[in-house]
Amino acid sequence: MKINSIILFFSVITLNLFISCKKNDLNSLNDNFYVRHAGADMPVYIRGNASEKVFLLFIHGGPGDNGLQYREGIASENLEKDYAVVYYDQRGQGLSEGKFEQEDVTISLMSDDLHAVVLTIIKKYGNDISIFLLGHSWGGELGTDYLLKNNYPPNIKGWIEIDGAHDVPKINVELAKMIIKVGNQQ
Amino acid sequence: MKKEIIICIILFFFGLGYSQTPDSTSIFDTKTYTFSYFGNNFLKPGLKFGTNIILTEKTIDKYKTRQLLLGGNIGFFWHPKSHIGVFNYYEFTYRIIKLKKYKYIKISIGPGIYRSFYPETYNVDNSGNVNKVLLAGRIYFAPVLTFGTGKFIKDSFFKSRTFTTNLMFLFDYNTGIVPLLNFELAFTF
Repeated sequence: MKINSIILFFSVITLNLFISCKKNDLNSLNDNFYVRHAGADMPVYIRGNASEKVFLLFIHGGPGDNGLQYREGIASENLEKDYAVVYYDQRGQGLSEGKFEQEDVTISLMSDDLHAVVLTIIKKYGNDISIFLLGHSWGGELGTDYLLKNNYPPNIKGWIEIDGAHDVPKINVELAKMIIKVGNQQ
Repeated sequence: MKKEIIICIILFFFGLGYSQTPDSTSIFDTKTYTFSYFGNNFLKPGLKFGTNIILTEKTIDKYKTRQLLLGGNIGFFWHPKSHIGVFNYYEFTYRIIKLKKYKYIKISIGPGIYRSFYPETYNVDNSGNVNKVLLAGRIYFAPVLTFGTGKFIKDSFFKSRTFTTNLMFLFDYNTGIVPLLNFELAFTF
């Protein structure tokens, strides 16, 4: 193997490391940052159009999913044309890091994490922004808890829930019933 | 964490000590350096620089030789959407060389440390105060287990090339351990 081709190989890789930074402007945001709260470091990704100062904050499902998986598909693409869409990885999920005890992870703590994310977005983009929460599945439960616990914070202008889960034990019971019913039909 | 760092430092000086007593009977270079492309999950690019010394070498027959090596490595990888990971680890390597084809396989194990560096980071305290954190990140004890295969290159500046699968375990990551799967393409000189 020739030395030149090896040097070229490593040069291309090194160059690749340094080509990434995109300048953020409000019309096409590409903002990545972390929020540190109560022993967890949670990555936050903001994409889309923030010119109207409207932010749509995705609360992902699971627990066990991650924020950016909701960016797949045409729905997010269309949303990002008009709004700044915020994706974040909840405590202990996705690329979030930290050190904490399993027993300490409660809905209340994760609700406080969400509040920390909201406060950080306000700190970065100003107090005049409007935030709409969008919770899917487990995110539906977390978002509801957050709104009730924090008495509907003024910057939260709306709440969208997709297939929210609010009574997990009951879901499990109903799921068992549904499997039997579908099985009988087949 | 202090204990792990002390172990790494001791191993480093242990390696330096050995590096001053090369085995002159070996047909292979007793001390070599490696420069690698190091990809976390292959796709997150990084680089690694390392050094290896032969501790012992035994010829099994005229076709095979086995070696025990000690190595030290430092490197980083870059996750474009979130963080940079910087690591330093030391490894004991068991290598079997097929002399006829000049090929080898190797397995390594050793302790290390890993530090993540986040981009812009904000700390939110219990009172709701938001403050920027400089050089935010986490440090982990990160032992490494690797499997590799390679080939010596004749009449070249680079003495060998190796493809290695590297498993790095980060301890006390959230509530447990997380394994990182890395792939490495290394050139030795």
